Amino acid sequence: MNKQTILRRFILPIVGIAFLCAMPTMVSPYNLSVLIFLFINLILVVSYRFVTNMGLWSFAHISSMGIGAYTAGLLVTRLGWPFWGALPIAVLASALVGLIIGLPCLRTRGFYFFLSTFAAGEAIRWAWILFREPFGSYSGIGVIPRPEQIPGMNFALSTSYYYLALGFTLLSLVILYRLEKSRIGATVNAIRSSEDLSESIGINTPRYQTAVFATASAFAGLAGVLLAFYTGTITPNSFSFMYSMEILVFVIVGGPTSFFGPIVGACALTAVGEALSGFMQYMPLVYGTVLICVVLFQPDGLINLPKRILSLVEKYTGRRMAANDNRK
Amino acid sequence: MAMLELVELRKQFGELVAVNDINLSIEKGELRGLIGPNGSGKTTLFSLITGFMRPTKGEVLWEGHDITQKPPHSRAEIGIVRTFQITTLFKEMTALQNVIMAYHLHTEMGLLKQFFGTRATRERERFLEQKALGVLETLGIADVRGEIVKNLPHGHQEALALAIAMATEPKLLLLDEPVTGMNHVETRDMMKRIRMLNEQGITILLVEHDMRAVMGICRKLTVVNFGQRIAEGSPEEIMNNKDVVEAYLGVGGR
Repeated sequence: MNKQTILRRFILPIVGIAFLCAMPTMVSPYNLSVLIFLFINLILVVSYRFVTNMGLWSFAHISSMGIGAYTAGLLVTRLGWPFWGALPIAVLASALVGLIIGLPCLRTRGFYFFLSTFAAGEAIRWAWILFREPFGSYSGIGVIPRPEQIPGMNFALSTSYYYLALGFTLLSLVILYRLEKSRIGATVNAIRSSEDLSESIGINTPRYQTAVFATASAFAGLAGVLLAFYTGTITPNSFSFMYSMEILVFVIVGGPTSFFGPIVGACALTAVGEALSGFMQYMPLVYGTVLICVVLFQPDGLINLPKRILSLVEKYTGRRMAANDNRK
Repeated sequence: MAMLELVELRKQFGELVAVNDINLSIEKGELRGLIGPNGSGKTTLFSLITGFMRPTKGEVLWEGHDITQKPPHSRAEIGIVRTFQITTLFKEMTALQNVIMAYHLHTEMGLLKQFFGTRATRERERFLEQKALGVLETLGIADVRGEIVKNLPHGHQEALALAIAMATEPKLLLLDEPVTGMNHVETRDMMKRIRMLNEQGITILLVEHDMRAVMGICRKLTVVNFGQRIAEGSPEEIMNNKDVVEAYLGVGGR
């Protein structure tokens, strides 16, 4: 192993994690909460990209998140379950609903896939509104307590909750990264590249698509659980279409072709959002403008911007050098 | 028993009968040509055999078993593999990666093992790479293994399509107009490859609308027109068949 791989594989991640662990001592409580929401969004965008990687742009991802949040919320508030018991059940519930939505919706493509997942997502959201019992209609589920203490961690404190969110986020990202780099990820890429050819070489494409969809739903569910226990209240509007759009924008602006693209997108736009926090009314305009500019001028996303600038600089300096040579 | 048998196979799109009660049987080891003018129902027939379409009525029998309702990937599993008419490849991958992908069928690995990338998995990957390279060598395109597929010339892409199909270790290989758009040299190379695969023991059904291309290598030809089988026999018989000449040149042609 050469120096560079050691640097990339061990030193950078360790420094990064140490930095993130030290965060609570460096930033204000408000900024800490921004980071916790960012972590939740990171789980969402990276798992969402797992689906979009198949060339399928789903609009049910946030609904899967809601399934996780509602399941855990109900188990804890109604049945008095502990957080650590409700969490796995909520994640499984999200995966199951993902499976149920996926089976019919994955038979459609393109615009119809968008439409059917949108319909499924809205149907779920309206169920939360219309079934007052047990979902609590518009006011949702109130006062979800913070997770029980474990030695050294009192999750009633935001600092401890920060570590909880950080832990689950890192775990999710590592799992999703490994999935992408494994043969499973390669197969997903193959299916996106050509479904017909994948079928003809013996890949059971519907099974893969459904499995990926359900897995991504499970991660969305985890994000939902983290949100529910952090905010303490969830309502149908916590999982609105606008939230779906926001995730979509994060992924596209960051760059859907790379694993780290959506992460960059979420971080960058969250930073922009915070910088503009005093000018809430401008936010949609800024988001819209950024999205259009990226789609027009940098369709590979922000993640590929440095590479592009570098090649432009090279081209420019190269031309200058060539011009100098000519002058000689 | 015939390897593949079509029994009264029919495919209708609304009023249009694309395949009209066709009976056809292919024996093991054959290199059969399926020809017919454009719009004669060849491609539909092809899709019915490979499972990309389901027939309106009739049966597809594989070694005596009914496979009419099986999806394409299950048919690939039992050995029926196709190539595509418009070159369909994993365009963003390298040539070698394309072939490795196609070994999917024969690399059942545990999910957990794949996930953690154990040493066994890595060894397996290396083994597959060697095998894939072997296929590229057999087809004479090993020199472009590292190229991104979309940058390859047409002839190489078609050869790669063949390599991908080969990696699935098929028993019956269906080729859908593999020499379309090729120049003479490319066509000759392609026909050489096809004959070589047949000599290795793979049964081949070659679909072409250009009669001359298949005359040279197929010993038996089936001609379809308007969704029906109008003739079957050796190239000489087909060339002198009145119905075939009419189908290709119109009534009164010669």
